[in-house]
Amino acid sequence: MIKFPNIYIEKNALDHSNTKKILDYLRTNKYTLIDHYKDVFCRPRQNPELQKQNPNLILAIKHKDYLYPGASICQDFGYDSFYYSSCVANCICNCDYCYLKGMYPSGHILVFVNLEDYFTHIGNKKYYICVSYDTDLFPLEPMLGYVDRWCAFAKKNPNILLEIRTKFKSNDIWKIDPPNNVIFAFSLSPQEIIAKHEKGTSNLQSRLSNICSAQNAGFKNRLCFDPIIYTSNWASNYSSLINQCFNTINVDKVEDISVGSFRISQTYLKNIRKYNQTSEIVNFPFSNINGYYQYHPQLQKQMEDFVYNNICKYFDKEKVYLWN
Amino acid sequence: MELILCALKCEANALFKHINNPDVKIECCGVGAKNLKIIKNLTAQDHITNIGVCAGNNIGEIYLCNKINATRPAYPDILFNTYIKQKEIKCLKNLADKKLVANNPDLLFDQESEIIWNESIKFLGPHQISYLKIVSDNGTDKDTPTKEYISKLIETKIDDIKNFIDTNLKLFTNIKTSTENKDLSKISNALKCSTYMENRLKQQLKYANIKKIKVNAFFNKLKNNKTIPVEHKKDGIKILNSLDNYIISENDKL
Repeated sequence: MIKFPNIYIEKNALDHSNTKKILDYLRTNKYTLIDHYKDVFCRPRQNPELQKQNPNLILAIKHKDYLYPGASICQDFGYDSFYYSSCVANCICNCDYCYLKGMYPSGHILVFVNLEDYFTHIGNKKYYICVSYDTDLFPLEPMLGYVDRWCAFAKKNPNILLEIRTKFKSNDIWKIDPPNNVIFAFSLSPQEIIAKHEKGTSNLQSRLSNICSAQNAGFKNRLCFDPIIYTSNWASNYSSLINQCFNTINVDKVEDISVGSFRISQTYLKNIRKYNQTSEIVNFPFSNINGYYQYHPQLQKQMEDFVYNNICKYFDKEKVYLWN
Repeated sequence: MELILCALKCEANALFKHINNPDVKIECCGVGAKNLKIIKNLTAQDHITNIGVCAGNNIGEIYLCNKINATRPAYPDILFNTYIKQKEIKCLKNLADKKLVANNPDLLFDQESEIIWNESIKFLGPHQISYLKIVSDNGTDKDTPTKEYISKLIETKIDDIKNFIDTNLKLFTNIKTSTENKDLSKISNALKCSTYMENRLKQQLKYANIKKIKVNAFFNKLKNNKTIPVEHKKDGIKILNSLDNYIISENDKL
């Protein structure tokens, strides 16, 4: 069970049934009452890198902005109405390169307890919504049950299409009845990258067995070779990853695949570098292209082409999406 | 560095006896935190813990403060799990009386917390300030606790205090910083770098340093064949592009 050094609760979230469930799960009645989540989450000069080592939990109510338009550097998989939803901000794992550390002023985990208000707002519109861009909901599922609730919502609203992305193995999620309009996206990285730079996430073998579990239970699934990270032996690492992946999972049951090298907004990277001055991933001398840091075009092309071509040995290239 | 700030000398003396660590500094700031000059020299790797007695319920209990109860409340970060109980603190100009303490069982009262916060937070982050308070009295209508009593009280909680300080030190030692390449300005001048170019160069040198790639060979070669210093900025840009390729090729050899 996750143990948070401190729990903050917004006054107006205190009586919410979900708050009570979370406190019950954490077996605690100790918390710090706050007026507004921003009083803690948005304090100046926080160190998200340090906070991520032992994050605190903030429970709050979201009053607006239940959906945000998808960013241009994110995959839209051909959908026009592409949005993302942020019901939890920040993640329990600690990937070196995670853009959340540059986007949010805090490393603490902010949970909006009023998920039902998101559902009311979204309704049955023809939207493609990514619900776990700003967090990984899987490791929080025993505490929040949000994956389960999003899936139940999707079942009742057939027009929407949800994507739930993860780097975690789960045993319980695959026990629910699989909805047709929810795609589970599995982020895959070479084991060397996972071990060195994706702290707190499941190892490659667990991720692959997780995909198999999802496939066997009838869940739609997507593979994400995104972000591709440069290291001195990137080619052999990604070659082994792709071989291991397609020799383990059932390729016929994969919906589609996304491929993209690491890219990040210049503002976010600047913030991340401020508190992480020794990571080889975020301190790579990237090229700044229209406000986004990316690998130099030549290296980027080389890496993306390599991964794309290797994937296409196993999978229909029509269903492999490159981010640019 | 861990800076322990105490209001009273008798509080500091009790700590001096038991804490002997070159990374820990113990200072007195006086009642009402009148002397806080020292905090202006702190950096992002430093941390302050205000340790001292306070008024409240449960005499003899030690608390970690999770909130400073003020017109604009403040929230010091708590970044590791500890068995020390948490409580809110309110800072007063005068000593708390018995009635005030009795009417506010969930509060601690002192005369420094808010002042230390307000002065520190101007340039430190909320993760850099903590408060450990030991309840010495339920409010004082007549007699204030004696120096001897306060010192002894602090000593009864010395193990809790030492554990807290040690854990904090470990956490802050993990903050790693990089040092700037000493040749940066020399190379920058030789390449006629603009601010943008210099930032790019700085990042290249930083990455090379992390990956232990020696860039001297690259620049020495350019120096020997008189490619640098360059005459025009655009030639400097070309060299920065080549440096990118050099770093990648050297990295691929690792």
